[in-house]
Amino acid sequence: MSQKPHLNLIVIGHVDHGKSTLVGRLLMDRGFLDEKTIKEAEEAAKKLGKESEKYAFLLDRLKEERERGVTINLTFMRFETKKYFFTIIDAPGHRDFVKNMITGASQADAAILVVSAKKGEYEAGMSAEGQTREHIILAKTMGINQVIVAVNKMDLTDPPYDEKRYKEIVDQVGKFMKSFGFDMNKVKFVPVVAPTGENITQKSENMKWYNGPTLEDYLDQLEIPPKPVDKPLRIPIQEVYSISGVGVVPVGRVETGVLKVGDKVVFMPVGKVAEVRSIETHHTKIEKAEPGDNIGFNVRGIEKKDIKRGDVAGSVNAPPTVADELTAQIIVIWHPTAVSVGYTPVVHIHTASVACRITELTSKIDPKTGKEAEKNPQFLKAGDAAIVKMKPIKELVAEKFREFPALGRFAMRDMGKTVGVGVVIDVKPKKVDIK
Amino acid sequence: MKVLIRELKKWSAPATVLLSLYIPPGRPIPDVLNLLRQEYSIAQNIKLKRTRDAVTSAIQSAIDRLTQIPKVPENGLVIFCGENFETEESKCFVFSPPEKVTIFFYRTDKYFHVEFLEDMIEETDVFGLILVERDYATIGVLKGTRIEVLDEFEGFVPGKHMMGGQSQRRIDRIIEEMYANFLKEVGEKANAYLLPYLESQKLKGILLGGPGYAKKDFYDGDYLDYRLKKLVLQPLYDIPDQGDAGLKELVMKAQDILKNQKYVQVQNLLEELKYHIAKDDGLVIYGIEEIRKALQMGAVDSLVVYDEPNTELEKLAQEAENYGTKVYVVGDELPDAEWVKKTFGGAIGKLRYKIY
Ligand SMILES: Nc1nc2c(ncn2[C@@H]2O[C@H](COP(=O)(O)OP(=O)(O)OP(=O)(O)O)[C@@H](O)[C@H]2O)c(=O)[nH]1
Ligand SMILES: [Mg+2]
Repeated sequence: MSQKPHLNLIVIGHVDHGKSTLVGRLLMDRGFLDEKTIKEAEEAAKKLGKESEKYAFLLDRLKEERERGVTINLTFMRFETKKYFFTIIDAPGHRDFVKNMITGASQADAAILVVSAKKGEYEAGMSAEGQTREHIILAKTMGINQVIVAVNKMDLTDPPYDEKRYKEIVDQVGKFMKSFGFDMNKVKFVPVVAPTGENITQKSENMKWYNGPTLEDYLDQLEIPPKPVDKPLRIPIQEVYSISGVGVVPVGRVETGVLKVGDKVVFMPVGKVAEVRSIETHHTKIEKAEPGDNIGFNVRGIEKKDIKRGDVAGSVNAPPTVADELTAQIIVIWHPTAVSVGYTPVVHIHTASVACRITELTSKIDPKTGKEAEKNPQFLKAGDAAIVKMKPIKELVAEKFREFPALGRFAMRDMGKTVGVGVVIDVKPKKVDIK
Repeated sequence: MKVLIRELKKWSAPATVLLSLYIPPGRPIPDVLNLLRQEYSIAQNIKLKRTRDAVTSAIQSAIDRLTQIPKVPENGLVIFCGENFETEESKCFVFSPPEKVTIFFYRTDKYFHVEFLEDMIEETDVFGLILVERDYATIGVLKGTRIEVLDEFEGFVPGKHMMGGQSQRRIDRIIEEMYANFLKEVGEKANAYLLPYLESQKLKGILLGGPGYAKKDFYDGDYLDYRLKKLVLQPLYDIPDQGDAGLKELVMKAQDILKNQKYVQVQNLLEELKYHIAKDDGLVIYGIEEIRKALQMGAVDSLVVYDEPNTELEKLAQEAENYGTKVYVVGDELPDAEWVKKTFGGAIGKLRYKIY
């Protein structure tokens, strides 16, 4: 196992802008894929007559993904630079799979935003319905502050490798990110061509006008976020495996606290206690996991059917909170008419997505002063900020943002669109017996 | 029938002691009696005496009633037996319903299973709703103003975590196999839930959706019964979510096909009302007296009323109908009903023109 510090990196952006290709090329150039995998991907691409997609095939391994040329599920890969050890998460860009992207974003410390510079593609991503826009909003909502914007497909601009086009994109994307609260000192831009690796690992001969660092150089400039090791343990579950001969293996990222082999942990909302028999990260056994580590941990005392994505493992003496009701501060960013009591969007919070019904519009807030502007408004419109009460339709683990930021910020989606974002101010806990 | 259902719905028990039995026509009585006798002997093993006594006596009275009936009537037979734990009164309801029983159903539960009877008296059309993706599915129905989730389940199709290295190809193959098995399971469940509606001729169509391509694989792969498949309406819809939220999206995305369905009409009306409220253009009216006045002026185009029997609201709905206003009575099944009730005292209408 590498001794370098660890960072989780998600690759996001509009469908087909080149995320998988970029990751595939990066991993291959740096020798983090074995011969066999590379050969298999090349052959599969050839067989389907899609040789240009061979790099994407290194990550898109499901039959459905390859035949249709889109990423559906998250792929987690390991990769190292001079300074860091990365878990790189390739996310889908297709609008139907935004929920998978959110799950990935909830586990990331930093993001590479891939934006195609090709005419039409860039515009589609930045349109009102586009995922360049939506992913920027969601990444910020899920707590990602460091972003490297890879302006991709520079070979396909008109004329090719056009500096003007690059500048136009940097300007527009930058403005948009700033308006959503990004600290632009932590946002970097680089023009790239994914299949040839230009400005990814080596400088591009075709873009002499660009003198900045390569994408890889920028990766080494990322900062390690603080590790809240002193807080109670919280691991939102991303997936659960049941492996014959081994048992139940939940997979997720440690958000707070420390997990050691032999520890007892409690899974919420079921309230069952289990003992940790082993911890693995990237097929390597470890004795102890800390905030930021993506792990699979084998537990005894619980069955597969007891846990699912969105559940949270935590300390037995300070178990994760199951929410009966949430008080949240939200911002409505998009809605065709008005949000009223009874509105039931799907709330995406850490790895969970559960529909929550708005039961009270407590107050509307003046975005300038942060003070109450209206008590119990009848409805909220796009652009409004408000304090609301929400009731989860199903069991949901949520924490106050102040105490566990990663478990207290959320996006609200409805009809396939992101309608708002928010943070949990207070949680009315539901009583759960710990078994 | 409605009165009977209301009575049956009042029954509930702290343990699973209330017996519901639906027998379709043509089923030989001795077969059913055999099953009940088996259930009787199984029930004798129940540990709690109170529960055991209640269950066995419910089964015994069902057996007693059934032995007196020579043949299942033309529309089938329905039996509910049980003891009311509070009053300690035991009762059996035996009757042949107004419409054909299409399923055989036996269960002892904490309540009587009247949902099949409810379906019978409901005169509305039913649309089947299916959402399917690689490892998750939701099956439901749309009836009137109600969207019901019948089942929501996960398939254990792993993602891409464990892959890489040696056995990757083998794992890929296993994953594809698990995916196909999951689609098969979805098909079986959809058939089980939706065929009864087809047989009672209520099923007018099926909407199929989900994220990505799984819906197409599901449709092309003949996992659905051929009669149901014929009812699948095109196109297949791109729906990112599952569960209740996903079904609502599916119905609203298909609103062109479903424009005569009450759910879609109410939902659109409510959205329109919100739009007018937000614009504050005087085209919305609420308050029972205000609405009455507007009705007399013939100014109310449509009205949403919260469902509360024997109240002013019910009267208002009746009056509005007499004036030729489109009236939608909504209950808690509709998310916005709470808003109508809390914020507007249970009635809100759209005006044809401004009256103030
Ligand atoms: N010419 C050119 N083609 C590119 C470049 N980057 C990606 N492509 C092509 O664009 C297509 C889409 O690339 P992917 O890597 O699958 O895109 P993606 O962003 O992962 O797509 P989703 O995961 O489905 O959202 C493929 O055919 C790639 O070969 C580039 O820089 N130049
Ligand atoms: Mg991809």
